[in-house]
Amino acid sequence: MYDAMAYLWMIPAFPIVAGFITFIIGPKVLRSQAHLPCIIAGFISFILSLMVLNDVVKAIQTSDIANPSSVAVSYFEWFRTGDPNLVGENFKKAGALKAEFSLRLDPLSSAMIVMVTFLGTLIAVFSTGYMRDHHGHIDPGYPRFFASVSLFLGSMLILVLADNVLLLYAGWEGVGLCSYLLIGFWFEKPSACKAARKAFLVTRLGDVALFLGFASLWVSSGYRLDFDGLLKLDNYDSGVGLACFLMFLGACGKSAQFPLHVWLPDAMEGPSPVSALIHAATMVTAGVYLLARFMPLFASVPEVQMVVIAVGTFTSLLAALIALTQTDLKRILAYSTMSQLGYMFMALGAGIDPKSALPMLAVSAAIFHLLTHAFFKALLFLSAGSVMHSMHDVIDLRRIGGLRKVLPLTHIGFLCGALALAGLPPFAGFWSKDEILSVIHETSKASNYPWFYILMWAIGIFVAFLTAFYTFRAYFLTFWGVLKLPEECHGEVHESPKSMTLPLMLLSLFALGIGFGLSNFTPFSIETFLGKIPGYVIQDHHSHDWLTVGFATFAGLAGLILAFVFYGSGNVTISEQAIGKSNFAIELSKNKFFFDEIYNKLLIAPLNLGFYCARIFDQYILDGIVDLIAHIPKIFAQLFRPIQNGLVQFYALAMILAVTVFLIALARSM
Amino acid sequence: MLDLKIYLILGAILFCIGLIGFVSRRNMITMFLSAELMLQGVAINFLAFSRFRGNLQGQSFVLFILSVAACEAAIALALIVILYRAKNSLDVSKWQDLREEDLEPNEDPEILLLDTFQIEPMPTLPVAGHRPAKEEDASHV
Amino acid sequence: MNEQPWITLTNLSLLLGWLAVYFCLPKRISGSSRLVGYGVGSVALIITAIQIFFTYSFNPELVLFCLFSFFAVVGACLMIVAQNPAHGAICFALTITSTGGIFLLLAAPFVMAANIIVYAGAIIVTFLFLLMLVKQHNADLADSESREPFLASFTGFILLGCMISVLNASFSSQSQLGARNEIERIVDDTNKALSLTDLSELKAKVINGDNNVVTRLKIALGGSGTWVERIEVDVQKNGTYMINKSDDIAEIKSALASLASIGNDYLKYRSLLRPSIAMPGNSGADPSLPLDKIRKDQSGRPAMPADNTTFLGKLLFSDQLIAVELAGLLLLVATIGAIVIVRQLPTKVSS
Repeated sequence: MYDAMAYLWMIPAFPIVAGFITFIIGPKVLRSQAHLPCIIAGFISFILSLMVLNDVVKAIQTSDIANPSSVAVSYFEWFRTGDPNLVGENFKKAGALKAEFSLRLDPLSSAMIVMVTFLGTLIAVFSTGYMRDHHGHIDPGYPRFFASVSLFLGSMLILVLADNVLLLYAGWEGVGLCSYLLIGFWFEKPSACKAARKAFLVTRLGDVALFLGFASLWVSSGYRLDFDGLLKLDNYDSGVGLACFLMFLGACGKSAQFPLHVWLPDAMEGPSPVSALIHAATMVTAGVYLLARFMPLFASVPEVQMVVIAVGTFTSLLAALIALTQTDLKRILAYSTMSQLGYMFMALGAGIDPKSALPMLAVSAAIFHLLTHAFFKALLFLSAGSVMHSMHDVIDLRRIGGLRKVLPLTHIGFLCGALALAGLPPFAGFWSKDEILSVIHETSKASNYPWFYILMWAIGIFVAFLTAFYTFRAYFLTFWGVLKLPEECHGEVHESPKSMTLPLMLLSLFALGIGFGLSNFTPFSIETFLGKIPGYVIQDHHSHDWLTVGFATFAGLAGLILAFVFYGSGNVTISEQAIGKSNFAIELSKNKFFFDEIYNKLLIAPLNLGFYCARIFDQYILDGIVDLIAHIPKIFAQLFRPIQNGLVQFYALAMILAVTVFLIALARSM
Repeated sequence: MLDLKIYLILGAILFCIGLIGFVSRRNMITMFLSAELMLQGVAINFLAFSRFRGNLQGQSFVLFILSVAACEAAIALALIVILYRAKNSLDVSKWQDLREEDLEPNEDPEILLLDTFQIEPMPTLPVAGHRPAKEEDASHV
Repeated sequence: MNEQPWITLTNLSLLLGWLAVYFCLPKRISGSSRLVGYGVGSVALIITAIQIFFTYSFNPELVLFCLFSFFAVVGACLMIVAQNPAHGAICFALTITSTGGIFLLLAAPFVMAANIIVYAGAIIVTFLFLLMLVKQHNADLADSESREPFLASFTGFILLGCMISVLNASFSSQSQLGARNEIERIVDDTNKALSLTDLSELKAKVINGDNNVVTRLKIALGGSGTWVERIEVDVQKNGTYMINKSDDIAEIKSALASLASIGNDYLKYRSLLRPSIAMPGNSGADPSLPLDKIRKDQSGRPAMPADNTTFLGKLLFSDQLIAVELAGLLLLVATIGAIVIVRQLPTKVSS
């Protein structure tokens, strides 16, 4: 048991309480101070998370983590169903479904909560500047924004801290709901509403699969809900493969992987801090976290792992190709997020053979990239938000340019983020990306299909090249060249307020340093740290895959130089050619490989036809029958309605007639 | 010796006459008087029973009827005043707003049975030397 | 139901009354029909008067009753046919005063006074004030036309006919006679049974299930007679009953004798029956008493408390105190209500 268990529950509780407080008293009482509960609760949670992390680190150093069952703590019984008196062994177990509010504290969850609370607090601070206009007037939905962000933080913390799948699912749905609320934050914009609905529905598909996956886990593990029971391979006889595949589908929905990736670019309709927090740093990584959490199971089914790595690779390649030609800054970042998430899935897919150290390496690589990516992508999004704020919501790369001079702090922040994303040494992305590629390389040696993993590895390096290229394309187009301002600015530009630039600077430091700080060359190695997750085989010695490092660095540099040649050198003709040229490949990329159109034609059109038929059936057949039935009393009523003529005397006359009839009956009976 | 029956019949006659008045007359004041007449019939009923039961319960009941009738008169007259102010008429037929929506207002069709005793009013000559009043249509021609 | 002929004097006068009211009611095309109505109405009244004079013996009360009820009915009829509401109000005052006379005949002087003060004094005057207030300059259409005069008067008189026929049926001397005969028959039966010397006849009556005899015997003996039950049990068991015990016979005989003596006493003292029931409380005779047990005065009608006003006051302020209070409250509420109602509308109209 950790000491931290006593106050672990407060970490999600503070933001949730703050969220409800803001919802209730925000619009009337707090008004322009509505950010206070959110920031204070986030900060308290961050401090608590640091204490928890400290506790975990201490426990690792004293090797107190040996007993796996000590990492979970149950606070109260959540609910209980069924009749324990049912006959039959399986019915008894299945009937007595018992879910507890139990949290799990291990290196994985502690790393996640520190990252989530830190970024959440920082982005909330950024939002206090972002959600005001240039005169300092707050957005009409200011309290709603911070209430939703608070709730999101609470749900995300529950998601990563949960010790049973039901609680995890609750957090999963909570973040989905908050994401929906925040994408549709400016609900008066039809596009925002549409995007919110699209995000909610597409992730819903994944959520259904996830729930089915959890259900099959529950059944095949002998009706267990807690992770201790679920992660023991001895508990299973069969059905792990199916459950893992379904869970992977769920993760695809949340993390915007290939079949279900279409919602993420549209989700940029939300405010930029939301894009940074939810759609880059935290919520979309929930899928990665899920797979990392269940890695022992996934590692035991290499077929599923091959699907995972294939999907991850494909998504990262696809998203990188699309990002090449986009002209919307935030959209480029969104596709880059998809691409990097694909990278994480590649890492996770490399974890095969539970008896070797590969699963541990895969998890640590994925989580390493998750953390670094969270920092530099949040930084990039916030910088983009800052640009957007200064440019009066214009981030079309064709209409802006040369902002290096007018937005110096934003420029530095974006540059740091871009360097980290491009994976250039010694910035953050370099370390984690190399880790991932090394793991894949490692796996190709251990697998039965080495050529497959080698192919994935090669594509990964190609994607690294593409990443560097499109990142710096966006960078050069935005900040270099001749100063170009959209007409909305009326010629005036000023740097964003301090509440926005300070988080940018802080994040820049992290984006630069966190990669090296968590690498194997320092005592804070993430690999050592995550290796202490109970149930993993630990690798004793570190071997550095210099081949991979070399290739990746070369790819990154090549991308950077190419982008400079095309867009940064001031050579207008090349840029013009590059932008204006139109051939099939570029059209394909510009139109996002027509995925939306394909989905529309293949899935939505037949469904619409079905809806149309159902509507016809409902309107003309069902309603017709109901109306027909309703008409029968109406016809009867038509006979008697004239009685109701509004004349008092007529009513009195009718009354007297009735009395007379009764009296006649009485007289006859006497 | 008169018996109970004849008093009850007298009460019934008054009651029914009041009833006819209430149902057929359109002036709200006359309708109200008719209602009071019905109360008189009831009062006679009560007093007759009281007399022929040899106790005073019926008489006290009539006193309560009196007080209720007084209240009724106060309220009803007040209502008649404001109804009159609203439509500038005492005609109860002007108040049929609570009828079914699509019904035409009742135009009071009369069953003209037994109206064979109608006599056309005699033509009257104008006073000599005065120009007879013009017909209204003539001015438009 | 006793078969009554449809064509009676009562029904004839009802028919004539209906026609009179119909002709008199103001109509859209009113010619001389009102005169016809007056004539027909007079005929109906005359017929009714003749009927009354032939039914009841002549005495001052009858004369007074006829006088008052004539004015009451005529006033009422004139009121409902009056085209001018002011005339109607005057006719109503006539009716009220005449009903006051009727009230006096019914030994209710206080109610009479109250009635005249409230109606003829207060309400009529208020009506007249109201008529003045609403200022109907020219005759309104509402006064010169009535709604459905034919149907309305027809319905009213049908109702009246029903009431009268119901009253006739319940007060007919036949039904009273029937009740008297029933008692006499029972006593007669009992006497006859007592005088029987041959038991076989009684036996036959019992065994043949003349329920009346058995039931009456049972009632006379309080229902718990020993031998009556024995008879019933034996009859059910054997289908017959043998009276062979001398004490049985003696018992029957004594029971019948007591029954017969009660009946004879009743017949003897029936006309003089004056139970010594004091005038209870303030209200007079107890309402739960049967009609024939009420104390009668010299004329054979129930006695009323002598001092009407005193006893009525005592009754109102003792037994019916809460009702009186509530009536007072009602008057207060009505006063306030009337003020509020009349005050509200001018502001609405002006706004």
